Amino acid sequence: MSKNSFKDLEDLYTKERSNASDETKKKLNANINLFGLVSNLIELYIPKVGSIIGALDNGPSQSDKNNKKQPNK
Amino acid sequence: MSDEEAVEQYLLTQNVNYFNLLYDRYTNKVYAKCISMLRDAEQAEDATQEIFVKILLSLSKFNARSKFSTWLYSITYNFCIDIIRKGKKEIIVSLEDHTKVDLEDNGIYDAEIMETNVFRLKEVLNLMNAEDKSILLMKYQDDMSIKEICGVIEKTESAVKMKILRAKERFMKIYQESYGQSG
Repeated sequence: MSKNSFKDLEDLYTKERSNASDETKKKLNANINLFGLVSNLIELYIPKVGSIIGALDNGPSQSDKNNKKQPNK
Repeated sequence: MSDEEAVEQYLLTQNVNYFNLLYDRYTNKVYAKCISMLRDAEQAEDATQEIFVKILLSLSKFNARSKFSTWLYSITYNFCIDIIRKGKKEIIVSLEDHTKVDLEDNGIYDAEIMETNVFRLKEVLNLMNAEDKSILLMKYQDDMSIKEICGVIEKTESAVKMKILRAKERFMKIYQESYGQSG
């Protein structure tokens, strides 16, 4: 197999990198956790926001009206 | 497990271990490209992190028709070229040379370039512009085919062949200016 200095250069940079890879991995995992949290929050609240907008659009729902008529029930 | 299977499993399960598998496989390769392109260890480390965040956010767009590595390297090179462009208005020579493309990549200089002393290679690459450097890395370090390079830089096959040939010529010119005879 013929020599390929480009691959050797890649190895050289990898050796010089030392432990920085682990630090970057930690930061990356922190980002992944943050993205997970944000997407969970979005999943949780988007339907509620949708229903609020729907309610604003259509006025009070039938159950709200019934509750107002019979406040003690 | 192949890279493509790891991507598929990550998208299905959102289990971070699948993403970490890809990170462990490619982090040093991505870093090596970043430092080759950016020439600064700290900047290369930051770029590596940002590239993986970018990858994470766009994994769902990954098209399994291409290799994961090709897609990852494509994002890496384009990311680095963007940083260089933003940092110093480098004049990037247009890939669309207006001369008629009638040149074939006949392997000219291949052996000489690949067998260059590694420290000299590092120096010569540091003196090259970002676009020439990235195309040589794609060809010699990543073993990308002409077709794959076309996909990365979004140019025609003839434009890519022309670009490789020109990059090799410029490499040899810089080498000879710096060290005299090749080797």
